[in-house]
Amino acid sequence: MAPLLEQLLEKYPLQVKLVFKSFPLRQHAFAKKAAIAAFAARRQGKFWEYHDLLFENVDTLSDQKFRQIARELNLDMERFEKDINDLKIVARINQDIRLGASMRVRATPTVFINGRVSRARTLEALEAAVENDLKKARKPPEVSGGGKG
Amino acid sequence: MNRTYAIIRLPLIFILVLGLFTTDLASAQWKIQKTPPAVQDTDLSVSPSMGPADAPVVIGVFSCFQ
Repeated sequence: MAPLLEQLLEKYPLQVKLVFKSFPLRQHAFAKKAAIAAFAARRQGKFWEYHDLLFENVDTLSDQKFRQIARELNLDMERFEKDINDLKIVARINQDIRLGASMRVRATPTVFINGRVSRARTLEALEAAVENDLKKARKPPEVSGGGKG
Repeated sequence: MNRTYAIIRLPLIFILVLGLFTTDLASAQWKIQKTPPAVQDTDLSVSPSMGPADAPVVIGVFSCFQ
């Protein structure tokens, strides 16, 4: 899904904003640790790079792999170690999980386009959804109460 | 004769160079507009995002890394 969304951003650089929300699923042993590591990388301005490498190594995630990725990105390892144990980051991820649960997220990825769940999973379908919302955004607001004098 | 030629030629060269520079600048601005801004904020209170803050379409993705 991530590469598709990147392609979408390339096509709509001024019209689309992509917001990442963590929703580590319980059945995946390293999912939450991966999210924590990504947020630790964010503290050093490397969230998206770390995010991409996590997805590239999705089948081999481990505590060792998290550190290996951090080293590959030339992160300050002392700071990274400190941040992966920072409870503020854990709390931040829990906040996303609560938000997801309140929005009835059950699986990942779950995509919301302007607040509505989207089932689009191809570039064409995503483009159609974006175009639809862009049309709505372009429409001038209806003037109500244009009453007779 | 040579002086008149120089008087005509120099402004022409200047205009040509200015024109090239302006075209280059316009193309650079276009490239900047075409590239989504990579937001690398480190503020925990906001979610990581890509793209302009005032975009009319906001795509939120709940993701799991595994």
